Amino acid sequence: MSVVVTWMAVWSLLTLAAVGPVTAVFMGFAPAGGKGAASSTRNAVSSIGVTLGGVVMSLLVFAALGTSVSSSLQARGVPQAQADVVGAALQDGLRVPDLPYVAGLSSPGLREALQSQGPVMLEGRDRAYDTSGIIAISASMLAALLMFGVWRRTRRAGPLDSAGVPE
Amino acid sequence: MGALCTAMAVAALLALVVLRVRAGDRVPPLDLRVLRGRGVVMAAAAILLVQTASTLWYFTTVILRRTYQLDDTSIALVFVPVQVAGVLGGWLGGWMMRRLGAPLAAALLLVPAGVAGGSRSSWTGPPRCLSW
Repeated sequence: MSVVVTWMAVWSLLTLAAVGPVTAVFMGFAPAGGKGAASSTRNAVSSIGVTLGGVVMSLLVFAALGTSVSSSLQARGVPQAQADVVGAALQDGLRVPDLPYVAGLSSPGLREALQSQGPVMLEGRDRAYDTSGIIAISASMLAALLMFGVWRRTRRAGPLDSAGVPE
Repeated sequence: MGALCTAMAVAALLALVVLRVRAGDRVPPLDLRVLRGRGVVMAAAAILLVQTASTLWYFTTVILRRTYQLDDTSIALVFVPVQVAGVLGGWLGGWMMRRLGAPLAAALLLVPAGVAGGSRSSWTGPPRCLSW
């Protein structure tokens, strides 16, 4: 558990350390007298990011979960049609305990394979968590590239003010 | 559920575009004229991406509940040192910004932040993401 808390603390430290400079860069581009409008726009962009991020992350994470579980079931001898039904049901957000009641699922051993703490579901869960991590690292790296781009553009713009933003 | 969320997000974006067009030359409640110039658009995109990555916190709480079987109070307590670390991060960000400038400080901090976020798989099981 200490590993988890340490990881969360490090990630929180680095993420929140980056938020300040990113915000400063955005506000540094605000026109004179337009700081209020820039702040509102920044908040709107931030809210859109949370919304889109939630949608994209959820879609991909649950897709990974469904695909993994479907593949694992087929590897255990469950017919492909029924494994695909289970995968699609998981992608649609169906709770694991409700899966055996999905219409058309009658393959022997399917109910046992879909135990919430069984190897099939645990493997699918880990695959889903891995996917969320990959999305997070991709988004952060892309943001870093954008900031490098801004840095290259503003490097020639002159000296920095006291907040580290090009004057 | 995913389709519903996507539809809501697209509808919100369309509503934003329609409101912006209807506003015309008048100053709209949300003045998007701020978003003129490549630099500010890049900064806005970076903000959007940082928030996208931050949705990982939600899945982190799911992991704490599902994998570690923590109850609500325990999850809240786990976040106490995490929030303290966030305060230290704010100080670190300010310190780097004064020395390197905001754009370079942001870029240099986002790289390890991304690596830290992606390394989460190492504590929920073997990092299979590298062998996909």
